[in-house]
Amino acid sequence: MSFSIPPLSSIGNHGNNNNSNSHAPRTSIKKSHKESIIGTNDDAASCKLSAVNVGYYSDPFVKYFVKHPIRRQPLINRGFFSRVECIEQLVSQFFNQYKDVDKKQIISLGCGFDTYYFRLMNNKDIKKDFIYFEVDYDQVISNKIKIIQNHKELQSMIDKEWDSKYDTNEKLASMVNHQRLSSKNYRLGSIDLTNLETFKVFNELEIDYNVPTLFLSECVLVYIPTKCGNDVIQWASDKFSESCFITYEQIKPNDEFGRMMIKNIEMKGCPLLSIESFPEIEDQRKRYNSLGWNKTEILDMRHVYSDFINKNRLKETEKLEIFDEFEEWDLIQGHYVYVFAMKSNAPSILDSYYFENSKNK
Amino acid sequence: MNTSTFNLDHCIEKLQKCEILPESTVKEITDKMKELLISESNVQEIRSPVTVVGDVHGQFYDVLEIFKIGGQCPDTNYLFLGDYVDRGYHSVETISLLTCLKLRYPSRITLLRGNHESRQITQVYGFYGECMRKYGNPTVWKYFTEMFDYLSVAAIIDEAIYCVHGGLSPSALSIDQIKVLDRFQEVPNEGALSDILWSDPDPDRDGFVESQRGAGYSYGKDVTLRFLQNNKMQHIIRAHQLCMDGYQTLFDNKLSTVWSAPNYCNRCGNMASIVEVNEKLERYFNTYAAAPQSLSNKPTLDTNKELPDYFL
Repeated sequence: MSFSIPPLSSIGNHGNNNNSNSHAPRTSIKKSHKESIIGTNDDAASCKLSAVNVGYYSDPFVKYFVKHPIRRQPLINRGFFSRVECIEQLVSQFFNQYKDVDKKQIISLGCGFDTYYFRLMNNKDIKKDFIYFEVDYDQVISNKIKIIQNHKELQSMIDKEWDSKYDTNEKLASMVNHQRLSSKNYRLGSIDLTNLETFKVFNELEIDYNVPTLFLSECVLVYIPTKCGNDVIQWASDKFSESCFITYEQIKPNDEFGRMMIKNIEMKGCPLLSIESFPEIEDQRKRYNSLGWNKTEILDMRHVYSDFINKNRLKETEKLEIFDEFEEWDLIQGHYVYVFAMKSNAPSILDSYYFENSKNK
Repeated sequence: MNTSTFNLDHCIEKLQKCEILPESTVKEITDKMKELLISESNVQEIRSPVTVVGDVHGQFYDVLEIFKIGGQCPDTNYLFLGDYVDRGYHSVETISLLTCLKLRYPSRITLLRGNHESRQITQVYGFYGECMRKYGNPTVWKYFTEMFDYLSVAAIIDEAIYCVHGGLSPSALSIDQIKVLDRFQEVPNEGALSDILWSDPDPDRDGFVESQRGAGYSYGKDVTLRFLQNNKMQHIIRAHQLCMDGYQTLFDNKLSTVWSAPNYCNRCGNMASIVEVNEKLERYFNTYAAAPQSLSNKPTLDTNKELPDYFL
């Protein structure tokens, strides 16, 4: 195999060390800090495009969100592939659990430039009986809407269900105001996750509190103070009685790798504010179970890769590029988890998800 | 063109300040190195005392630390087990310096080949990209990767300690078989030459098992002890695997892994070590953390990627 390797380029200088007193409980995010958190979104989009270009999975949409494609190291490609596969498998189970319900919702918190909505709509095998909500900082949502407005390929995934009396430009304009997009299956709005007042955006987006709802939050809650994160998790379980909450974030701050990770990410300007409160898997489990969720299953990314993800997908993707980072893979993937918290009135639903038990097979 | 001792000293001085050599000088030193290496055996016989160094992966400031901690070359004899390039930001400076030191003090330093001294893997893991950034074209990469084909693949200290980058091969159970391999080629995808650069010991499984790395094998205690006995060796020193403590010993102290890149990739937070082997063949693991300068890990001017990747 030979590859043409473009030069490394900057992911942006997220400098501005946050020097605030680490003892005082934080209740808000300073502006420069917020910029750095927003910057992680560009990083994620770029990494996803790298994995897509190598062939790990299909996503014809992410390229519109990335200005400068860079090929990332194989560990990063494989890691993002693992995330995408994990979410797909969990969401597929969620849809299946409620296949007799004709309306479901997915809420992506801190969505960034994620393209999962577009991929779902593009998938012929998925019934389009869901509404996909995305919320993030106002800047992110405005930018995302701008990018959608600039690309017919993205608009076409939103327009289809609209009245034929509108032409394309009118359709989109009528759906969109500054920081909001509202259509049949896809709704975007701005939010500040540290301020529950701003959650009224969901009412404005016409959310239904009485249908099965799945929350996605990937590397989101860890950037906000613990108390704020708790409020979000509690709000979700209070409001939605048939629901799931999927979180992807870092754990284990206290070993050598963890300490280096904390330091490096802090230098990027977006410190991991809640990681010290939930250092181990059991701490994460206690968090969700104490905030209104009935059952919480957790896998670290080593187990997600080796036990949960479909083996055929592993076989296909392991052929794509040389991989010589096994010890590092174990180290870094041991420091990330997927949390899958469930709430339901039906115990049979809680018992029939397949996630953490994949470890025991 | 004759590379005089004077010029080499000048090159070494420049490199120690982390200044790269001009492309024409790289051609000179790699040509000279190939001439020198062609007369070296696949399995180099060396004498104690010698300090054995594992993977350094372009972590140039940590290489300078090694010479501070272990003693400057040629005052201390050195055996490097390969993986000079990829991953770190200064693969060019690292391999250039070690090449110049070998040319300057050929009997005081031995450089073995690691699995990263290869065209294929250096295109994925950084050395090719770094050469492009620092020289604007792939010529220097070509010079070095051609030179890599000439590196010896194993060494024996005092006819007793067998040293190699990865480990054992089921296709070459005798050192004599390794001596007659044709090493002057790109690292193949399979076979003995590939195996000895890619293999890993496995304390949990006996025998040879195909490696999950996609090249080489894992080798257990049984085959290791048999190898030592059949080849009349006392110990194996190898590298290739990250060790959080800088080193690891296995198989009742019959095999050691030495890892010499501290805080690997500015991410792993690990210690590193070098193995000091004295005349009694006793092995002392001298451990060290990342060099103060490398902690800030400022890459050279033309790359502005400062911090390692995480999933954010």
